[in-house]
Amino acid sequence: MGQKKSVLAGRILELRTARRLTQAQLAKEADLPAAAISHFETGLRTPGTSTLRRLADALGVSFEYLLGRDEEPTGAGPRVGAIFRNLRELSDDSLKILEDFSRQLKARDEEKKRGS
Amino acid sequence: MTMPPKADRGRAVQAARELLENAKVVDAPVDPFAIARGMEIVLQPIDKENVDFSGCLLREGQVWGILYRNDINVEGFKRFTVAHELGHHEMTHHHDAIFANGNLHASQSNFTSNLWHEQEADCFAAELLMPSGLFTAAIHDTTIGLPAIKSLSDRFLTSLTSTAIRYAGLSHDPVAIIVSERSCILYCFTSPCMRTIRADYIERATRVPAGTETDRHFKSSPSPGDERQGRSYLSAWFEKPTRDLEFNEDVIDLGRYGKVLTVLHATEIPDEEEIEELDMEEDAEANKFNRDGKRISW
Repeated sequence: MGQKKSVLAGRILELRTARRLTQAQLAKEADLPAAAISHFETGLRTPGTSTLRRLADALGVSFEYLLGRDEEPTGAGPRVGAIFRNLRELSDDSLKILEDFSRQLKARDEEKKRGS
Repeated sequence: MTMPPKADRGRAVQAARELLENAKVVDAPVDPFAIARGMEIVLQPIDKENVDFSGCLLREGQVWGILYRNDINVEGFKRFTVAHELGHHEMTHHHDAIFANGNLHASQSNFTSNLWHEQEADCFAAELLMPSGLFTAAIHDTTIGLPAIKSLSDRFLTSLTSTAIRYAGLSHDPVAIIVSERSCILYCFTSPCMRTIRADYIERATRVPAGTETDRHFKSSPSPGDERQGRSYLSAWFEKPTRDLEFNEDVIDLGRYGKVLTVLHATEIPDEEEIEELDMEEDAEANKFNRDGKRISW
């Protein structure tokens, strides 16, 4: 946990300085309170996913990259081959619902990739 | 032996507050569906019965989705489920645990999960739907006991059970909420001041104490929504309270799976001196009557 926090803090700082943004400017870009960036860069606070996504958008990288889950700035993080957790505990009906929804999300993801 | 990780409730509360701030929510009722849509999370209700989970969070690439059970006709239950899954989404440290063996996470909803990430997600959902600042202010504006919980449930659009748990957690009054099923206690939450008299723990699966209003409720032929009011002593419920006070006992049949909510409450815990004074007043009043009940002095 500590290590990830420092990767996150380091990446925000590194990307912000590379883009020659002040903390206040980045906060404004990401629609966040001015003090937030300082908190993240010093590891005082760990932002939630929605905040990370805003930061990632403002910095032009994926939030997975900010978290250190991906080494490519625009990578989407590791996609695990085996899909379902607790597979044995799910009935066939439940599994069918999950598979259908998973397919629906996958289609949207493909659509999103084509759009970008 | 490695100890399992413990839930960090403070972190969950912080994450919920951050999301409320990002979503610019300032008043109740909070709409978790709108918050999710604002984050481009795909929401899908499940109308089929006999599904093995109450909700789940999925991810495919950059797209996230939440499935939630829609067949249970309790709006508060659906809202809490979506808020709970939002918690898993928001707390990035959950992602490793949830997606460790795949990319799907399903949760069972019963407020008593021992898994640290389930407890954190419940805590997140409670803070998201019933923000402590707004909820505490609302407690001050309402009555006490079950009527208070019902009014708060209407205001925050939350289920009676989740509202009752929140009420116990944030009330300054002496309150205990107990959920039981078929005369068996499932769980109990108490307000902080109950700890001062050691009336804060009931072992799971204990029988509902005989002679209480809740016991009478189970022995009747209850219908969903049935309510009863009575009084019971703390020693009937708790093993060794340091003060055995008589509390109001409000009971309501939750209707779902035969569960019953009991609310034990009082306006305050009188200190020892106050009780002695009350006893002396009662004795003095009793001494004004002879054995036949006739008044012998004023």
